[in-house]
Amino acid sequence: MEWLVHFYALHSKLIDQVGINAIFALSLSLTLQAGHLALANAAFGGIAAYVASLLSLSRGWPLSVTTLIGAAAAAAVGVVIGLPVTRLRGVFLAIATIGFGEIALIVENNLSITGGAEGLSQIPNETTTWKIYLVLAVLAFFFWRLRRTRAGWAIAAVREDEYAAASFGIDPARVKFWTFVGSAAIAGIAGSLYAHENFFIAPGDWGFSRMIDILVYCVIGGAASPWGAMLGAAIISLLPEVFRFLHDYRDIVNGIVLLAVVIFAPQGIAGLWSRDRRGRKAATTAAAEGQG
Amino acid sequence: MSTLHYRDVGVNFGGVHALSGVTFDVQSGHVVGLIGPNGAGKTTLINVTTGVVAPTTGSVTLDDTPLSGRRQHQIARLGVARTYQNIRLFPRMTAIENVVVGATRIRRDPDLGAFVFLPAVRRARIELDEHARYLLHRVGVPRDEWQTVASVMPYGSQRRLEIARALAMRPRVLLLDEPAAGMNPAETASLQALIRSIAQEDVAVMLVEHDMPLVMRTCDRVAVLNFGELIAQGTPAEVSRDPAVVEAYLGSEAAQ
Repeated sequence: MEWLVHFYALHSKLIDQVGINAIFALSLSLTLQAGHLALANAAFGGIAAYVASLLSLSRGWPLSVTTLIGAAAAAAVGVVIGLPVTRLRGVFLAIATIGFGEIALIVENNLSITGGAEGLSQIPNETTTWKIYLVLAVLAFFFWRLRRTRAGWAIAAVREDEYAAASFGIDPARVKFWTFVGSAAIAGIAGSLYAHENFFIAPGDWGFSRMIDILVYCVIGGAASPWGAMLGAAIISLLPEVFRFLHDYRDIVNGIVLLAVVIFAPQGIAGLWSRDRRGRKAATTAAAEGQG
Repeated sequence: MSTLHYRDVGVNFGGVHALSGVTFDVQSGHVVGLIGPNGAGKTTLINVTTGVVAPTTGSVTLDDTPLSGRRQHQIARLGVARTYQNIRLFPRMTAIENVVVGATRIRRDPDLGAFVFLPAVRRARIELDEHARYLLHRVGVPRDEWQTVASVMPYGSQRRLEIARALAMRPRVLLLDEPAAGMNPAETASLQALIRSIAQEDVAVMLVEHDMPLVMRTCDRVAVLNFGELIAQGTPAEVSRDPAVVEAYLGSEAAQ
């Protein structure tokens, strides 16, 4: 027990970071589950972080209120951006959303209210470990149950084949739009938690490199699985700490581990446990034989 | 009772007339065969019916409801189901899951119920599963493939699964695009019985097929397309005697 307290005291910042990164990963996994690659989650996180931080600084509202307003603001921008861009497919959607992220950065860098390139500082340090993991638990529950709803089935069908989905009464445009907006809202929650964890935010926190980090969480964990996304976020966030003893060689080993996952587990780490393919077939063959 | 009406349907792709002036009906309870050489416009007509392609001229109506101008998912919700010539199953879903997605139109379980563990949602899922098993059994997908992901199923089973998935919608109209492709004679015979039984449930069935014996045995009426135009229609016997049809299939010398 004492060991645990000591461990937490030493690593609480890292534990918080893992949780926030996992929420970012979940936000991207929602659009990936619908089979489209939208890369604006970092930008949406940034928008919510600025809105929530400005409200905390000017009004002194509690974290729960500012985070919800921040997430709502990100979702509102998601509606405006999503209407045109979710009509795009594949790499075109990726490019358009990256472009939107760059525009958001330029705006944040040049507005006086966002503090320009210097960003905002003295944001109240209201994020705590339990708040992060409460949000994560609620979101994990949401994703777990979502698969059992008609909306969840529609999302899965659109990922598998959007034309076939449409011929069974599912509107792929609607699925893509709402997963995009939902993804923006979840990214917004993560952004606000991040801002209230770190005292300080700047436009650079929400750039393309952060977006790539989020994408790597999902790819390493397993692109279309919320569990994989969370697992990937944990592994990628912890890897540099585990290899800290390697000093200068740390990044090399990091890179080797990532390469190994991509080569040997292309479905991501969650894919290793996947119910799909032979595992599933073998299981039912055994069950059928059992029935005689 | 419902009837699918094609009235003067024409489709131009640039300067190419893929279809022109196509007029015929498909009644519920009937199987109408749509035949013609490769490139005659058969699949294009299915695509026009389902909203994939908009007709340049003319209209498609289901009873009094116009289909042309509506989007794909809207037409599906009216009860128009199809299968694909180049199989389009949901590849990483199991056979049962594919059929459950097919039932999207008729699902009535409360959408937010799953978040509060509503018993109705669980019951609905069990019913959907049972209905899926019934349909898979009916179309003849072997039981040991029901939990297999679609992409690794044998080709013949994939074709049957396409039909099961379409039936899950409880369609008023069923458009079958070459369902017998790649099937052996025994499989084709059971397919024939299946198609007849579907029509008997008051579904309007359109069968696009190259297997002439199957078409002649299964269909109540046959419509023949050649270069996008309807060159003949009637009973299988009438159509097979029609000189224009023989010419389209075998060339003008054979017709003489």
